Amino acid sequence: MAKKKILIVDDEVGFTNLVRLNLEETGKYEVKEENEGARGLQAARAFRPDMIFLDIIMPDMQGSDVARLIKEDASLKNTPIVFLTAIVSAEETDSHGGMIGGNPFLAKPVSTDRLVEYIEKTLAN
Amino acid sequence: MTGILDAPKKTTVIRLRWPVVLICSYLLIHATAPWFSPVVLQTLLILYLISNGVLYFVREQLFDSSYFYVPLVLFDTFALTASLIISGQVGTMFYLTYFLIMVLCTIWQDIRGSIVVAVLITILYGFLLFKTTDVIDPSVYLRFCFLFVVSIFYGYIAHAVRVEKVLNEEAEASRLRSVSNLAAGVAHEVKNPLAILLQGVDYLSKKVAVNDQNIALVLDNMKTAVRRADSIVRGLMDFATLKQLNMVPEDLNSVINNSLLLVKNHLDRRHVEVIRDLAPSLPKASLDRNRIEQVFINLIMNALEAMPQGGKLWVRSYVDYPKPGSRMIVSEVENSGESINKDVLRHVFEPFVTTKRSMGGTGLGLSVVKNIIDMHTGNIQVSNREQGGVRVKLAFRV
Repeated sequence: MAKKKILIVDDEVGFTNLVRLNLEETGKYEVKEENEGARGLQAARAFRPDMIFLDIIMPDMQGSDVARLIKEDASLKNTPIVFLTAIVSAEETDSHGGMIGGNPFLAKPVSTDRLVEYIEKTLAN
Repeated sequence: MTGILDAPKKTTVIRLRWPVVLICSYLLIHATAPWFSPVVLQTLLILYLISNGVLYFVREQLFDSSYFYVPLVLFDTFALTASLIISGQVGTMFYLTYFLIMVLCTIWQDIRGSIVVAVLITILYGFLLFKTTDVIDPSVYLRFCFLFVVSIFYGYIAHAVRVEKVLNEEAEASRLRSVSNLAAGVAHEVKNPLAILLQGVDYLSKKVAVNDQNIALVLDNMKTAVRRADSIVRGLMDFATLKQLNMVPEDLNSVINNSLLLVKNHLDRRHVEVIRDLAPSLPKASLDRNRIEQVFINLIMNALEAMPQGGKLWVRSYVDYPKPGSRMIVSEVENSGESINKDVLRHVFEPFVTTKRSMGGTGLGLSVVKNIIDMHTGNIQVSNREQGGVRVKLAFRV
């Protein structure tokens, strides 16, 4: 079975490194990491991921803008985007039904098990 | 003085009025005025005595209304003046009773009222002194200067105490605001490193030798530490980032019942008996259901922690009318556990105040609760019950 392609865009280099290592460790995913919004957008177009994890606050571009531009791209508009963010708490995610602007989001810190569970659930739909 | 200003207005007014009423009655009993028959005087006296008794049955809200309070104070001023004239005691020390009326005035929220009454009393008494007495000693005229100065001073002190109270409340609010801004900033900056740590621990857990018990233990401890730090940060964020509420007309009873359902397991495990006293057909209040559920869960969990050996938990709801035209929905959560130390009680809404640090309490629960209630423009009061235990009273506007 082909590995699922996951793109993670977050300005925290340490975080993207470790998420990549952990997800690759499962043997099920091919992971690409980017640390800037604009580069994330380029990577999304070139890498054609099955799913994208996106930070909301990044120095060069807001995650919500990156998500909007991705959705405008016809070939990427069906790619699920999950916001990974430190600015909301789990309670807030729950009170919004886990959605921001029609996209699901996960509160940091998040364990690898939860990430994998989330990816599997999202890709199964 | 603060105590007087804090007590319910109705009680304070009636208590302060008794000496005035009794002194006037004394004066009337001893009156020898030729233009009133004793029967008329006695009738007036009884009516005046009854007037204070009647106040016990007057609605509390009326005492907030100037339309009621101003005539009441003016009535007493004139009643005292009349009593002094009828009894011929204008020149005696009975004039000091005017100060009691001045104290009644300080209950008024508005310093202008106190000034008006101070001026009125001075003019009335000054006029009386000139008109009705044949005192030769001119020093007696010092009395109305004295009356005026002390009355104004009295009114000013009461006003200053009130202003200080308001300023303290504002300072407290602004302090909480800056704490919450700081908390939001810290929370965001701490979450990213925590996220990296958690992912790092996950990675190492898979990489290190599985048979090394110590390493497994170390990693496990690290993971627990990250989770603990995260729960503190999450508490801080709840405290700090309550920006938007989703306000919808809700039935408070259904929110209460749902919250109780969510913590049912905890209640059962601790052998806590829940006594519900929910008013039927409560009017709907505009609430953010999730947030208010969070409030009740927090309060119930606090109550549970105060009753480690089990006990009783009362949950009430009812409609209250604190002022004319204003209707509030009130809910009380009460437990039969331990009371809160007085010093702690005073700071109970401040972040990081906890009696449960050793049990992992972050001291953010009640600050979050207070924040949520404030955002609903509601009220929250925490007090110890006389029988032991704690009562939390929430009030929402309808």
